[in-house]
Amino acid sequence: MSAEPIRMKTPAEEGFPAVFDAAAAGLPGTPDIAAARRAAIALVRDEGLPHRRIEAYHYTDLRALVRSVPPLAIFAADATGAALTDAATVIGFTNGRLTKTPEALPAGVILQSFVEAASAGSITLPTPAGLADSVSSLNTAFASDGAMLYVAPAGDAAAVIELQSAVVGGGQAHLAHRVTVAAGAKLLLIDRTSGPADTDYLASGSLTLVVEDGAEVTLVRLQREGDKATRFDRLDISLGEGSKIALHSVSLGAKLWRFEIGLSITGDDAEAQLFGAGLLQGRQHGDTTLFVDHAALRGTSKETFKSVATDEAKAVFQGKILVRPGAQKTDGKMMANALLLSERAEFMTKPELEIFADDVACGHGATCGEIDENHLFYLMARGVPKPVAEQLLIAAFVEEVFDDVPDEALKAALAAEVDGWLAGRAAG
Amino acid sequence: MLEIKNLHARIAEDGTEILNGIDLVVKPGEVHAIMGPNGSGKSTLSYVLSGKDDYEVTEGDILFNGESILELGPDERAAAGFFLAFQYPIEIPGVATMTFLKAAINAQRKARGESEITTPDFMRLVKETSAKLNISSDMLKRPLNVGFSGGEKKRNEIMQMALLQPKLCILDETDSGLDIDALKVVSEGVNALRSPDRAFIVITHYQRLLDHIVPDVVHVLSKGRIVKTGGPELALELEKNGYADFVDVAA
Ligand SMILES: Nc1ncnc2c1ncn2[C@@H]1O[C@H](COP(=O)(O)OP(=O)(O)OP(=O)(O)O)[C@@H](O)[C@H]1O
Ligand SMILES: [Mg+2]
Repeated sequence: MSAEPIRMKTPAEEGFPAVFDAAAAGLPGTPDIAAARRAAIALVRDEGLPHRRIEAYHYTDLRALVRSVPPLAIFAADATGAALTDAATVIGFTNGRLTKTPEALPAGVILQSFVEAASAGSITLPTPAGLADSVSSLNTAFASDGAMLYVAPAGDAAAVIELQSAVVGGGQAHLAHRVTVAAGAKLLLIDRTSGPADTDYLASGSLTLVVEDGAEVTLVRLQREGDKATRFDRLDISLGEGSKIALHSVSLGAKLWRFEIGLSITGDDAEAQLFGAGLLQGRQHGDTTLFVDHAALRGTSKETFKSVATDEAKAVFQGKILVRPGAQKTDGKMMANALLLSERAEFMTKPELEIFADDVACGHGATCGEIDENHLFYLMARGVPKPVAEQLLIAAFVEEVFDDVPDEALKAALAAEVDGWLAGRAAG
Repeated sequence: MLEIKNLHARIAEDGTEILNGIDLVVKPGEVHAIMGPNGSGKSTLSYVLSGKDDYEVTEGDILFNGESILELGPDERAAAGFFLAFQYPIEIPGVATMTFLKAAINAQRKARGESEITTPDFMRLVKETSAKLNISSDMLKRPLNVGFSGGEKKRNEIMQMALLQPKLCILDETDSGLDIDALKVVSEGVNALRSPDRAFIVITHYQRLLDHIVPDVVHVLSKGRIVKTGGPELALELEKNGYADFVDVAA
């Protein structure tokens, strides 16, 4: 055996297994699921948290960034609120448990809770392979509830569902959602997370979205965790033949967040439009890590991710497009744009293309800049004071991310969230 | 109303001197035309008056109603009544024209201690004003100036001027890029705003505009200095003979 250098574990690396050992007996699931959880936490126990020498975490060193680990959040009464749009049916989770079950679901929609599915053994949890999968590991180890949704076709209008996750008091909350949108069905799904200010809590979510042949899904995400929170998200999307996904994601909260997206295009002629915005202030650190896997013919994927960073905030975007052999006529375009509002704000980006087919159109680009002085002068020359002019220009930079949201109330709600963030920034 | 005294200004970045001692007095109700060769500093003067921070005033002063405005930012000057119709109005993607117009109107009202304009009043005002300048509702729906033709951008500038009702209007080559009909429409828009308490500085290369907007005084700017001042006949003379008589073109 080779001698491994002995490394001191960080309090967080000690903390996750300790919290797991204390909580494992109470986590839902069959013995198989319990075994998957143990395998996932074993990774953390043995190898700790990912650090900058792990490529996928080069810019987001969890060893340094996750300082401590709170116990699992305790049961709490429902703390979820009204939906962002009247059209939506809310399924609410508080402190990692289902606390709001709708009286009626939209036509064609079937809901089962994660607890029910795990207890019946009708789901399996992913088995993470290494440190690069740490978000999945933690979620697998601790997931305590979630929504298992099946959406069958039901007419022309999309079913509108809002998943809300609230944390009250603090602790850890982990949810795992699975959504299957059957062939030809339409879904507008809202995934919204929030929690208390000034509280050092940790939340994770994994959302697995299976979009079957010809199905159409719009996913709107609004992450508004508290200012001291840690938030980990894993979104896995698979697209069947002729299916469509549009993602509109806005991340405003959390001291530290990582949003991983794995998009897998498995059916021919599928279309994906992924838009994301991260607005970061203070000493926030926000990481979007995207992997697009084109494994079918004529797949289209357009990714546009925008970061706004001020104060000493750090924005990270890592994006990779893989075009597998035979995935001809793939059209993949990835764009990362950052707007830095202060000298100490940072943007780190790593775009990658890996192409194994010859007849494809793929590209990526990245821009990083400040507010355009000429734009600012034009607005100010019309009497608009600098802070308001800046707000208009930052909102303009971000707007594209939710411009195509099909529900007007939802779109207005997202714009209002961004305006609220901007007003808060202007007020200092 | 406006008194420019021995104004010297340079480019902040590299210190290049552009304005070399400009003296100009504009009284309420007057229209002053500024002509001069390319690169003589006309646009720079308009920017310095508007408070663009690419330029530094190194000497002299700008007084508006007797008070120096050098310490005021562009927004404060606009609130005080300055308006610059840009030579090259820029496109601002993502900022809706209507949102921008409302923000501008309300910012100026707020600076003057007035209440915000109501949405119906705002809509009515924009509708009336845009109709006079042949600006379609389709253009108003687009982001600010995005995809506008050169002439449309210029008309949009004049519409903003009409909406904001400034005291001192600086028009930087508003005529260039306008077709013959648009030139008339824009001139009518400007003339409609002429009043005893409002003054205009009209920068142009062509006598044609001054047929429509008749100036009280015409100045020739060369190398950052006013080298000649006269009445409207000066513009005619320039049209005929060029700048050679006033400007050391060979140098
Ligand atoms: N920000 C700047 N950076 C570099 N050079 C500048 C800048 N602003 C003005 N200049 C230079 O100053 C001189 C005057 O420019 P200005 O635009 O004021 O001329 P103008 O009289 O308006 O010309 P035109 O008739 O072509 O519009 C030019 O030589 C120009 O290149
Ligand atoms: Mg000019």
